[in-house]
Amino acid sequence: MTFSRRSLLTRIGPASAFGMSMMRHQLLCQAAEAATQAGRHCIVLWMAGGPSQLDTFDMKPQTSVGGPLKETQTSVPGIRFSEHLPKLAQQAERLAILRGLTTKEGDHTRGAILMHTGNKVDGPVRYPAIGCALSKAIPHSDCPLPGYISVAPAPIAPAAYSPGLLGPKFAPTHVRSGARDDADEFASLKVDYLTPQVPVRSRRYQQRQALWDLAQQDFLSERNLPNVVAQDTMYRSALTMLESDGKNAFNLAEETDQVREAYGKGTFGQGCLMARRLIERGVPMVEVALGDGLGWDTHADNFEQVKSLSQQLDNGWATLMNELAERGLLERTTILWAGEFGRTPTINQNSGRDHFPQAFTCVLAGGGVKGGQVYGETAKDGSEVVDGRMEAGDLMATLCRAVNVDPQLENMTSDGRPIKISEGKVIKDVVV
Amino acid sequence: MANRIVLWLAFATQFIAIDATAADRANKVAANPDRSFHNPTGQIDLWINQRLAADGETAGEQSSDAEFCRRVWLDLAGVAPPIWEVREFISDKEPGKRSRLIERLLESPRFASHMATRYSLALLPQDAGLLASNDLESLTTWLREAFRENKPYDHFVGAFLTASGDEPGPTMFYTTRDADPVKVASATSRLFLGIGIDCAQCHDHPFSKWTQDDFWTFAAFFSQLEIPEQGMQQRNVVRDRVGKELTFPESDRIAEPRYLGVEQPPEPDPTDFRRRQLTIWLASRSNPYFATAAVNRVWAHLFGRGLVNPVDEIDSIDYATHPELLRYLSDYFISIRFDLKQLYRTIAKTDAYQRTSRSTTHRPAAESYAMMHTKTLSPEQYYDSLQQNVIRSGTSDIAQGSQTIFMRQQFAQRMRDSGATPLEYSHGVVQALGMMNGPEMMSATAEQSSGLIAGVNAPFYDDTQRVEVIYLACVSRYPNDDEVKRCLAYLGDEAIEATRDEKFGDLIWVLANTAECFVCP
Repeated sequence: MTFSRRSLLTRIGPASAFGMSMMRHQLLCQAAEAATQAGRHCIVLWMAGGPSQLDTFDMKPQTSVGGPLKETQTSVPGIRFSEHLPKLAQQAERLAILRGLTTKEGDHTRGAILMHTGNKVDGPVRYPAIGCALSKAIPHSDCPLPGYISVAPAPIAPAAYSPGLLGPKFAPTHVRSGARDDADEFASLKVDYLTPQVPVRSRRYQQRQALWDLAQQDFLSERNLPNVVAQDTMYRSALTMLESDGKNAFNLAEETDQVREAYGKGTFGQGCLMARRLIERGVPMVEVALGDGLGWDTHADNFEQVKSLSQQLDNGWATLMNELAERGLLERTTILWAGEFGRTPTINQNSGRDHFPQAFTCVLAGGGVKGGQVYGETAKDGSEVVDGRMEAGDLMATLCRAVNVDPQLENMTSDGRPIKISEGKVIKDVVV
Repeated sequence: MANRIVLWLAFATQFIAIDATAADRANKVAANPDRSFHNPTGQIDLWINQRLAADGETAGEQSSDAEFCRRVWLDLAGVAPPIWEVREFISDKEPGKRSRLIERLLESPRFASHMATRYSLALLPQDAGLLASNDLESLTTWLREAFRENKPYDHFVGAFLTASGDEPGPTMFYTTRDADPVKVASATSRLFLGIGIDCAQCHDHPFSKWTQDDFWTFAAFFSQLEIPEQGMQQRNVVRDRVGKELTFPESDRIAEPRYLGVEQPPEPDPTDFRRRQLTIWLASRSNPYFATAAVNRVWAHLFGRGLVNPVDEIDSIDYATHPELLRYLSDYFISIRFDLKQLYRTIAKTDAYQRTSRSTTHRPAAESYAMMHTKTLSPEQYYDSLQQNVIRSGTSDIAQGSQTIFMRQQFAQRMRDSGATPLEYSHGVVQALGMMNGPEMMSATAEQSSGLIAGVNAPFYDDTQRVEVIYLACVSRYPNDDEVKRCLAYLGDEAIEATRDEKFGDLIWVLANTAECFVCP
């Protein structure tokens, strides 16, 4: 029995799951079951540069701060956002739009660190990125892949991806984008160091490993010390990963062109597809960045740029949620849409908007999130939060709760001081 | 002057009081310490061994020559011994060869370079990953020169902390912390006093006596710092503006500078240069924390843990494993006028330092010093050893040289963990994958780039000798019979689809990825 992927694709949408063929359903369920055992997942969609809330999720049409882009009605009565996010508009019941974010960090690097850690930037404590903390907190021992995989991270703020006090063990594995995005070709995404020089199934590989194994055993028998044992353990996990099929997750060529196109051909779209493949294999934490460095930093020509970024965002994100839902994985996967800050209500003389941390929007979606709502409100002129105020710490605490991880969970600094993942307050209205 | 003496007394009594409690608690050693410091090496062993006896532990055996050679090279020169050095050291039959090697390494430029690397890492903020490499180079150069001439440690620290615009190296200590008195004060007290006072930034310290007042009045010594508006050529410049004050958080109250834990205000400085005012007390023998913090750091360098551990908790000296020893070393360091090399020499010659880390049975706790514990190599130690013994690319070619420096930085950035101690291995799967398949391992194992593979192809070697050379290069010892047999079998296995050079590369891969190659034995 065969089925047409194209016909399925045309029916993708929240209601389409019932229309699937039984065989496909079974296949998807098997993958989903593996993921169930591995627990919860989280995907951060990182909008590098700071996305304009006023031209995406918190629009002020027909006002002096509104700009030329238009709103559209979504699948949830009363919720309206940009008409350039049409596919997301069809699944607004999955989104909790948080319009009351406010921080004090208007610098890209500091903002990126704050919005990745939810904690004080530059203080004496080296706070880990939320992805590092969550991948540590969510058990995933059956997963043959690293616990935190970050696709196309913004290069300007490496500290935003730092495991900090957790130690390098919890650093993300980076997936890098090959060339600049080209409209005609799928973006090529490459993982660091996952390909051994010697083919895994060859006799050469096996004999070489046998030698290594004996050398390790000999040394361990005489030096049974914590650092020696830890080195051995980590190496063996890494070898398991190299030798397993899990790493096929990174091979997007296994997907049909139709599926790949539905996500969008660029780095972000293909990254979202990779995220789905990683979640299917039990990876707890994935981040996908949109904006090639600082793409959302629209100091000039804001509206055209936001339009084009919105299209990439819409294709990648909407397809990702649909495909996860089809596989029964969306209810276990929490998605956070965020950037380092928002943009000014004032439109500058270059048709741009500048940095604005005072009042901006983030979105939570999927598992553990009470979707179909707008939480928080900004003033008519967008200048301040008037209701539902949230700081970065509150956002992280709420994200943790949605992923079913206690935000009060403590990690120890090297000098034995307990540090909670987040001391922010959980916004109960937003989580299930 | 009278003021100074009062200060000193206040400090000395306070310090002795802490120490006496510690001695009471330990109360196991009744020795006549060698107060004239005629035989400090022997005295250190005496403290350690008496404590071992009191705890019913036995000291482990002496390390083998190969083990000692690898250890002392990695510790003092920062790199594994070259192949011929191991061969010569093992075959040397003259007595006193260990002491001679220690002396030679301490006098070699490698010691100065290694110390400069260690200090530059300790001095810069933990997340300072994006420094321009020429900036870093100016700091390392300054440090290297100081260690080369063996500048007394008090002078070294004094000069370091009072450096200004025309010394772009040391000023990075301030510029990488945005000349922020809070960050600078935290780092200064951790590094040079062994006191982690930064917790008191926001609240009184939970475990020790430091208060918020202590923190802010200490930070006030750095209140004058500022970074002038700079052009492109003027990097890392700081200046001191008299009259620039620090206020307590959320208040207008000005923090008046005070030495840590001292009630009396400091003597005025003729030009009101506060950093100098600080170093007069900080880097002096009348500040008991200074020498203690320094010797504790040296101890931690050689043994992987401090006598007070973590090393920046000197103020909890009560919890030192060997409080008398720490105090003795501190007094000794003052008596030899802060001669750092002499301190290294003395400790490296002890039996405690020269014990083996090898044991197939009982292993006493690390802090007993009954045996050596293996120390995880820093990324620089690992990379430099691989570069020197395996890749062996000449640095005569400038392009090649800068390529090597770039690779070293990349590697270090991937592997860095400033929070971990050498007795831990903090790397994860990601780093392990990078080790196995990364560019460094490629260079080390590919016939085009690996100098070692070219070397073992010399016609006067037979295969057994070739295996020997690879072992000496990677793990600084001769292989045993079993190991030789295994490797020969691999080389002779015709079912393996690989050239001979590729097989040599495989043997290097195997050894370079063992735990043995990642540690200082």
